[in-house]
Amino acid sequence: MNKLTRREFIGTITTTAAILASNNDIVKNLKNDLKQIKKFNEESIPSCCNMCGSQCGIIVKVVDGKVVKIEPNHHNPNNFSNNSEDFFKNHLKEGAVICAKGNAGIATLYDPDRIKKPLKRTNPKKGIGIEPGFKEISWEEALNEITDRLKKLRQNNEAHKLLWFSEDHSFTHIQQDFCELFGTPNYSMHSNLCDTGRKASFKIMMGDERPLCDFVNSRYILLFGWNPLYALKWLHLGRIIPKAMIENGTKLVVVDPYLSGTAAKATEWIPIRPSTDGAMALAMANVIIKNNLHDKHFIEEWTDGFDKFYDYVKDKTPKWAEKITDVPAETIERVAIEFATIKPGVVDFWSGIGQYSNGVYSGWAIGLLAALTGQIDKPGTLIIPDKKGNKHIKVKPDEIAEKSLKAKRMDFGKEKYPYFHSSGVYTEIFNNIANNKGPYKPKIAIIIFQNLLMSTPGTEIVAKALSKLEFVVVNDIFLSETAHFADIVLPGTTYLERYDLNTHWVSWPALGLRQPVIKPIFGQLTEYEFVCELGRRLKLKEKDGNDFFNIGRVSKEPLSDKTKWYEEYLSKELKEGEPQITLDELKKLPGAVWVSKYGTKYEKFKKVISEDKLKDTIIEDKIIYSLKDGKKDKQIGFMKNGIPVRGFFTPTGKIQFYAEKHKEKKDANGKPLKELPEYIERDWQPTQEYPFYLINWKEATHTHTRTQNNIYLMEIKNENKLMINKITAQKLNIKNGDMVWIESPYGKTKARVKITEGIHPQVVGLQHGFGHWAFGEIAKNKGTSDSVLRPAKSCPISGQALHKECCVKIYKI
Amino acid sequence: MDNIIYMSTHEIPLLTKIANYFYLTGISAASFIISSLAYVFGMEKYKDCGKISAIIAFGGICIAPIFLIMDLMQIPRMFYLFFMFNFESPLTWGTIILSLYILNCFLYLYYIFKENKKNLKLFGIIGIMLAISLEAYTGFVLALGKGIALWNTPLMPIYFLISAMVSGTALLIIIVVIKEKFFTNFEIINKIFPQIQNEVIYDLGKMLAVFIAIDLFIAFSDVILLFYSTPENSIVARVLLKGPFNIMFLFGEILFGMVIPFFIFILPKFNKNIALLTFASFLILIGVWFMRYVTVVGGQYVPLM
Amino acid sequence: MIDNLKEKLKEKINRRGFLKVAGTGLTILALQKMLTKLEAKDVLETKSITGKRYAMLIDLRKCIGCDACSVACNQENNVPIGFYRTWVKKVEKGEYNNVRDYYIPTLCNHCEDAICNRNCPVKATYKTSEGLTLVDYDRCIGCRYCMVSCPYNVRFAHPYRKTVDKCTFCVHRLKEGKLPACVETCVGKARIFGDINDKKSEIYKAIATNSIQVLKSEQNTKPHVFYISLDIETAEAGKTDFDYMKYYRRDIKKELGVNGNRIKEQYNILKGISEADRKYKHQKKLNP
Repeated sequence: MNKLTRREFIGTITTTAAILASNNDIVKNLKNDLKQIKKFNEESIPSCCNMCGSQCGIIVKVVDGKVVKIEPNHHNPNNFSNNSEDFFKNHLKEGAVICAKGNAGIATLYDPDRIKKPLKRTNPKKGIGIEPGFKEISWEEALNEITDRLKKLRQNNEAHKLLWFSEDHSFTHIQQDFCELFGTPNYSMHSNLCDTGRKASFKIMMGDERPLCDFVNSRYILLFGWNPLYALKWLHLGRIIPKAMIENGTKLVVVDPYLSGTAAKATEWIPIRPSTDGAMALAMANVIIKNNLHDKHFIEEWTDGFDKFYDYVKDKTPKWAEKITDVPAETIERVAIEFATIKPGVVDFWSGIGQYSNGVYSGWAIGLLAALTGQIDKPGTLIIPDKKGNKHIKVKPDEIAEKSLKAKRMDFGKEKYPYFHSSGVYTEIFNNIANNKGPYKPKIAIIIFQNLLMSTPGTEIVAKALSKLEFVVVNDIFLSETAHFADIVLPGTTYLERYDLNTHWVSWPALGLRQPVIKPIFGQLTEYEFVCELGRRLKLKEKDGNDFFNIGRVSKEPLSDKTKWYEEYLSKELKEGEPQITLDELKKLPGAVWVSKYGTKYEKFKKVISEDKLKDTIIEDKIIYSLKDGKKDKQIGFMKNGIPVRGFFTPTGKIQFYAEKHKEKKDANGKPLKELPEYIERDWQPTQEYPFYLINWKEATHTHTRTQNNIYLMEIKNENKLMINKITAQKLNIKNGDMVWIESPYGKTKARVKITEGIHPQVVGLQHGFGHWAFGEIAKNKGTSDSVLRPAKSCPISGQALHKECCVKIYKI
Repeated sequence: MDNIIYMSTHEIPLLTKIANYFYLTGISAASFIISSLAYVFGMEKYKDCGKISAIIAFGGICIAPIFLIMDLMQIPRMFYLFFMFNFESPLTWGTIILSLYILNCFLYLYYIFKENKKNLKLFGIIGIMLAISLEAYTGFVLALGKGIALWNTPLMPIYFLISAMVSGTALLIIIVVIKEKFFTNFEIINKIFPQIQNEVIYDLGKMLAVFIAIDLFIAFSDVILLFYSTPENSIVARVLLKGPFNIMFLFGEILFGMVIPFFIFILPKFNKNIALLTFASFLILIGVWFMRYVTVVGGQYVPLM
Repeated sequence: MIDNLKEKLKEKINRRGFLKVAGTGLTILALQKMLTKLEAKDVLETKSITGKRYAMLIDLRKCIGCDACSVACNQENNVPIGFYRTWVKKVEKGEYNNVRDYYIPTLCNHCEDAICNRNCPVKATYKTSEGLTLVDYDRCIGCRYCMVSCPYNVRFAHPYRKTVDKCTFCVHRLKEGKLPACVETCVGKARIFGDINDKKSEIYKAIATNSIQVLKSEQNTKPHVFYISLDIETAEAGKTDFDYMKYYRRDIKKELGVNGNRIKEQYNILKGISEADRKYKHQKKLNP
């Protein structure tokens, strides 16, 4: 009896165990083996990223029609180096890089909060926090309504009452062409929210709007108000600066009120009062000249007005600057001498200077430091850009359009702003609409790939302006705050679903292709297809009768497929531009990137203009202009002692220490422009009641207001805390993690505090872009938006929106 | 250094279920050892409560693995523990010891009711060794996870063993008292389990007092040495004494779980009062559970990176 | 007495009984062999080229704390939201105005003498002959003992696959001759990866010519992720302060304001087709 039970017992245990184990292991192994037999359909397609505005190169892995991985494109100089020698020698050996935002593209592409179908508004009231009551409509319905309204405008000779807002890199040419052919002068884009202040400073100083730094050859880098390692525009910055510091022993000095990501890795961080960097630059100039460290030869040959400049800075000593900037005089003197003696050295600045009301002059003063020491367009210094890529072929509008194109822009354009940038002045437009000023009352706005309510300072004004318009169309991928003001919302595409040509901003010509790696996942029209469709329905033609939106530019045949039509549009731009290849040839190049073989050229200003080129020119006042259609077009050089050279594109052909022409110019407020880069205080100064400077900045994990619904990026950083200096916080009795009110004369908002040692005691700041109240499930109610604290104001010289000019008070809730 | 940004969620891996498992195996092993005092070492006066404690031992060890298995993320794969061994891992030793101990417990109980003294002694001796290893191996499981400062001490196996003895004895006292109080009228129960005199309970109480004294001593020396050791060890001791676990440790485990019961069992004024002794045993049971929880969860509380 | 015992043994262990016991024992052994044989048939052959030892070197002077490595790893290996295989710890040190930020990227160190390998009860985590510590997803029972043993806290409990997971040095990419995802994407070019037994490799040169530190060397696990310019004070920061222990354990659902479905949705987008899921099967167990 016992033996039987024992045997059975052991027997049953073993068999059950065997069965269970087999169920789990053997069969599963077989299943896995079968799975591996399944073949996946894999493809690697090169393209360009657009998670931010840098357009870095990527290679996208597509498996069975789904995007699974985004990897760096080793053939794109944007991801590697802006110096051609460094690029050609090392890019295949070391490999390119891609940042956190670029890697997170998959989450944005497959985000469940994306708009899938066109939406139409049912609630006629518009305002912040008002539910628009969207209902889904078909594309046909949406396009019909938009076309009807636009047709009416053109019929009543009111084509100029269409406002068009777009982003500043993607498919801008076709949108500009549409506006030209339609007849509205009011095409505006994002740049005036970004860096038109810097552009104006450099335009005054050297004629080229956008010089760039050659970090890899430099030995001393001095940055004012710029955070290249975190603002990470162009990944080559992220690679070069740490590399230059470690391998070449370059010194990096960062002047910034906040310990930015770049300052945190720098050799020296100099905290400064916001908007006072111009004073420091003038004091540095004073020290350099007094110690005889300026490059007299370069100044004599290539600059203008040095004597008047010296007269001005004679008494701008470091001690004078110390009172204004809160930087010790010894530091200013030491940095000035280091900058002038450690060569090659480069100095640059960005929005930490430009986004203030005194930004243009401050920037001019800082840029002149490079001219003082003769460090322009040499290896390791400030480089004149050689940006050549696809060519925007001008269209010729028909008579109706020509007439309405003569109307003034809503922001008065060049009339009002002496250094007006073609991207317009958003704040002026919205102020004019909201307060019924301006040359006329616009009726329709089409907004593509912009979130105006959060990115423009002065949210109230923007809201008021948008609610006054008759009809607003928004094309976006999320139901953003601006989309809540729209009458019709159209689903847009991410960068993985469309075409673009990106001329890269490196020191020699390079162009990258963005191509669709998958078809638009909701079957929506891409933005250029939408514009093309509008053009076709409105039957827009050029002056010579060319049915612009129907006839392919290369084949000259009617093309019904809009994507094919756009491919020909791009092909023609490539063929007429610097690359001189077609779109198909570009696709076949390694990494779909065209890179000019002729690398970075230095000292371009010394280049003599050839006899050939001189034929098509006219010379006025020693300045050589190119001719177009018999009329004076662009400045291409000047006569230097009888020899035609390129020089600098200023009114004198040389770098301007002193701008004579400014005597005749007035800024938007009617004040005459200053002829020297004088230091003037910014308009809004802290008072007893509002004692703190409020600034904002970018960080590596998010792009402005665009990425706050991306789950990978929000996992890393989901809130923008208000950074306060430790001692300041102790005085206000605020602890880490407290909620506080930030209040300015224009509004107030809540924020969570983080105590840090890395910020000037008089300054508080936060990362820009958070504080959504719509947009998506993850983005909603995270962090703080500071646009409500500032007025809708722009620089009166360049039209740059003043994002950083704000004074506030802080108190606990 | 006011600014540290952590990334991962760093969830605590081992939580209440593991603490419960340690608790129940402790009770089971201790009950077995007490039962073996009677049947193996021949202390006749503990024979009757030896029967009860043998049942507690078997019951405890049947419930304990349930917690262990529920804690696994892949429950159907629990059979892998029996096929795939890794003799360097304390969990494998535990599997072997636990399986053999369950078997042994069953056989021991069987032979108690069969009244087969020879086999009983055999399985009793094997059982004592298995019971001690059962409780000690749980200590080794913690001690060999050497990343955690609170656990990486040779005191762990002994600490677990002693507190197991404490909890086992306390549970036995409670069950004996309940049986005497409420179940004397049932014929069946009186036939199988003869009546137990109060003196037995007092003797158990004296044993318990000795165990508590040793337990307190080990706990004290562990915490004091941690406190005055390297910074990592010191912070762990501070978590127990001043940090988030201080109430559970100081009040739950030490004061109510050990000190007050100790005095109840020692002082002649109290230690003849059955009701008070039962109350003290309840406190001990709760205190020992807190000890397991604080050791398992509190040890993992401190960030390692 | 002995004869008696002999008799008794003879009784008990008669032929049938003996055969029964021996039979069951043999079946168990046979089953185990069968199972191991099936495991040995791996599609992703990890043929060990003897003598390779993979390691990583992180130059903290070049790390800018941009978190590109975390996101690249997340999409390459389809790591669930809330968990990281590699992350960057950021610490601010100093007082105004002498302040700097320190960034310490952390990942599994693939230790030579790993505690996790020793402690796994089913040998689901093992060390390959090239030095990588890997987890066999078909074998892990989810007891989480390795998670508790790791002194660096780099392992996490995968909520959907129900096993333990950690950095694998992107072993599926190493097979194709590519670098791990975090190394390829590193913006500051701080991460260097390679075979330290190859005297001509970049990593060997960097280790030989620079001052190298490792994390927690006193644990004696012989980690193979090396750091240049590791500041011990910032690496140890936060472990001795009760205020920071709260931040150590994040509640990702509360932070993002979403429920578990949204998080699972992100995992399902790449489930089965992410780079790691397609190419690495975690089936073979090397070095018995």
